[in-house]
Amino acid sequence: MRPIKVLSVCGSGTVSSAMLSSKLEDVLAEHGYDMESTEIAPGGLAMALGNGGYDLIAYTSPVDDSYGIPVLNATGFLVGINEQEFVEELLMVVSKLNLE
Amino acid sequence: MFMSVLKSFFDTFGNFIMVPLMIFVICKLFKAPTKKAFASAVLVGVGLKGMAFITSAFGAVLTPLVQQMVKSSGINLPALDIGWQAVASVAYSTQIGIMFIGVGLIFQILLWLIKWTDIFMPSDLWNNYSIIVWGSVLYQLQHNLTMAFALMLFINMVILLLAEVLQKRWSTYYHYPSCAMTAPHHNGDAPLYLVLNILFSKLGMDKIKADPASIRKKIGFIGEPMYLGIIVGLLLGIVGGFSTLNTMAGWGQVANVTITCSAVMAIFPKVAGLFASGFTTLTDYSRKTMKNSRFGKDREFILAVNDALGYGEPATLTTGLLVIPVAVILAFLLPGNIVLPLMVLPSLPYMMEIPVCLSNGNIVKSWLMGCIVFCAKTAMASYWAVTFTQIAAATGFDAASTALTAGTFVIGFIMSNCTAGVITMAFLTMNPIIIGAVVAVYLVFYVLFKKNKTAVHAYLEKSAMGNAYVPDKPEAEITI
Repeated sequence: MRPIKVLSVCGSGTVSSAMLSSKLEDVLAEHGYDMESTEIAPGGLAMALGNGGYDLIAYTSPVDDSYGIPVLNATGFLVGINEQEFVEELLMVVSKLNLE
Repeated sequence: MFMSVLKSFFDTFGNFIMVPLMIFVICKLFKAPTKKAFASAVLVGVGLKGMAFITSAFGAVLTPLVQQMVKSSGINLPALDIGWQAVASVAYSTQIGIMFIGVGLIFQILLWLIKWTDIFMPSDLWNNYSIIVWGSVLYQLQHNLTMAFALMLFINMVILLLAEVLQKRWSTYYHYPSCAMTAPHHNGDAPLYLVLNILFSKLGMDKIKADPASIRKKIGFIGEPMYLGIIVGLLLGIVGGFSTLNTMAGWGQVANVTITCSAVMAIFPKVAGLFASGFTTLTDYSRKTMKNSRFGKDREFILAVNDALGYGEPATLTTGLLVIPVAVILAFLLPGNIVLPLMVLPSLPYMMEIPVCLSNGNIVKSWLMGCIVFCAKTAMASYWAVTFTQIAAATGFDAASTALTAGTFVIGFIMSNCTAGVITMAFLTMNPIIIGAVVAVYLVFYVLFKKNKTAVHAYLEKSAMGNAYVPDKPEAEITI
């Protein structure tokens, strides 16, 4: 099984996105998934997606456009509000990915 | 005794070991698993080292250029803005900073436990560097550790008061129920925005409408740090090397500066991200440990959240992008300004969160408020440039030492926090009457606010939303 490729988005692709990536990695590892992530600012999304290969976007700064891959609002997950709900949503999205 | 042992320990091992060690110890204190605590510590150490690598490379290219610009063109902007990421790495590397990682965390939990505030600030403990810089300033200039800590704790309390005033407005506008944006560098400018917002409403500015989404589509590219680096680098290269533009070598230098600026802007966030992710475990476990303790039961939790949560909102991002060109022009025009804005530019949308939420997304009004406050901020940053450069050089920050030798400075807009800057000036006098007066002003505002909290929140809601305001909306149920 290949790792899940995630784009973590926050304001400048620095603090919150890095924290988000490390939390996502922990949760996915608990459920037996590997993950690779790129931390990015909203302005860099289009360019990163142009290089392709990403499975999903998780954000703490609102992302408005549709990019053709699942987009998850991870704000609550990051700050600790309704974490479980997000994890369920994440696992559902992940279960639909083709990771072969 | 304890201090001298700590000092010799510090001098031997340096910040690249001390900061990680501190993080490890506090992680364990809050019952994080050893594996996670160790990973955090390593990340912080690696991130700090990485920041040191880039900034010294960056300083080596840009310092001579800034020096040349000042000398040959007469444009007196010798203080290069190195951005919040670099300021954070300097702040956490100072001895004051290493101690405040622990002291600040405990103090903030305590303020929440004794119900001085309902905001649980440790859930955004990363931003504590923005308090630490002020303690470091006082320590640098007065060498008084007690006063440095008194100043930091006092600024922390003032910031919490301001954040609590704005809490309902910010959380309503950005749709984060029971959250507060506590970043000190934004809340410190809130008094200015609160006054300007009322003033501009009286002038009838609430009637002006502009659609942020369509403007953003046209100018969105300038918010991409890499391209912003190209534009500012080119400008800096041409202005700085104006006298040599008739030579091939002159243009070679312009090209080099352009790509260096772009590279730094693209790479900084990545490395700073390593550093910042080392704070994840600590943030998580301090919250969990408190929540599950007997103190956390039935206690209201207003979570402090990072300013990134508001960054991408259309009106916020658009207003910030529109301030970028104004900020660059203002830097050259404002009398007395010595700061050359660079790394702050992609961060401007963060600074617009308070005016944007106060004006309920009115981008024209927010833009005007943002531009006016930016003038005050450049003055404040100019004022502290020398001291901050000395602090950075003392922590072994190469770019700062290079700058000092060349007669230039480094600064970040974290040092442009108007409220914290003024409070620091008051504390620097070391005059008990002046300091007492400042504390008394805070206490008066604190008592007034606590007595009228609902009314203040309702007033801000009503002034932002006008007739659309419905009082006493029940807040959504949340579980933590």
